Amino acid sequence: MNELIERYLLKLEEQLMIKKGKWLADFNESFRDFEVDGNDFLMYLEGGTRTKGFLLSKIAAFLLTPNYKVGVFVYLLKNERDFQRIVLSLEKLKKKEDMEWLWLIFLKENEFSKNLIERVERDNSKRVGIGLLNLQELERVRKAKVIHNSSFIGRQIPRYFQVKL
Amino acid sequence: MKEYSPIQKYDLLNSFMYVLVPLSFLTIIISILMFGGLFVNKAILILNLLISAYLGYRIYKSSYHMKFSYDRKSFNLEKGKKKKIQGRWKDFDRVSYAYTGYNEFEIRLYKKKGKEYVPETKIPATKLGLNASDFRFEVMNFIKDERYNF
Repeated sequence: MNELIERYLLKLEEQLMIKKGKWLADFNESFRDFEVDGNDFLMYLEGGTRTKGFLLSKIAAFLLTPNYKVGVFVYLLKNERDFQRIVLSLEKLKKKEDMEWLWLIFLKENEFSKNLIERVERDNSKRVGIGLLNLQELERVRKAKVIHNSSFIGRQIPRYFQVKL
Repeated sequence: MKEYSPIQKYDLLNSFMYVLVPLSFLTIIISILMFGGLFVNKAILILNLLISAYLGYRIYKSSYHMKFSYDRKSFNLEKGKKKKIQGRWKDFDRVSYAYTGYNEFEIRLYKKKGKEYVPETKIPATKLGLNASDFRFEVMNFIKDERYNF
């Protein structure tokens, strides 16, 4: 796998599992080369909204936070025609696994087409966040532009899924 | 075969406290019964600490200390004197890298049963002094290699 992609995945894992991702959900398990319906995802991070801890934290989490299952899928988009197929297969999985929130991050090492960008920006799926990340731009510029959909979940992508490469 | 068995400081401290806390309570109760109040004596305190250190170390060694060894084909994990897990990499179908809190990571090995992947074994990589992320990739490669060289 490309060194740049691997670097992004390692940093994302660190950011979501032990750094500021904690504010989003408790991501506690990471799978690499994860297959869903014949589609190979670079990474799948699994978690929940209820944090763990000692007795008081557990009681607080039980009383104050909903118990949602959440997931992050990272896919290397080689061909933009695969986009729709990937989104559909994950929506199917979301229903099957009873996931409440789901983020889908598409990586590319060059520019995304205008068509795809417009499509993602227009998307208003409520409980799915879709993000497009151009890794070369992310490496070049400190605050690269991250394209995401307009839902609440989607709007979290620039803050939590953009890492410093 | 690579071997790892560092002292797991957190577990050692726990074992030490398992003895020290009840022993301190016992000392206080005896002191109240014998002298009608709290009798603080340095010698008793040092004796309590020494007993706790000795018994705590024994408890740690017999119940918590982990030894891990592995090569390209198999692994062996021992926890204390009773719990032993042996396995071959090729028996597993999926590997995950899991955060268990307090900056500790473990590697979970899954087996495919029907359509489901079931977690079978956990290797507490950080406790064993391994770099959990690198070890995960190493295990993924072992599983892949074993699959293609049966």
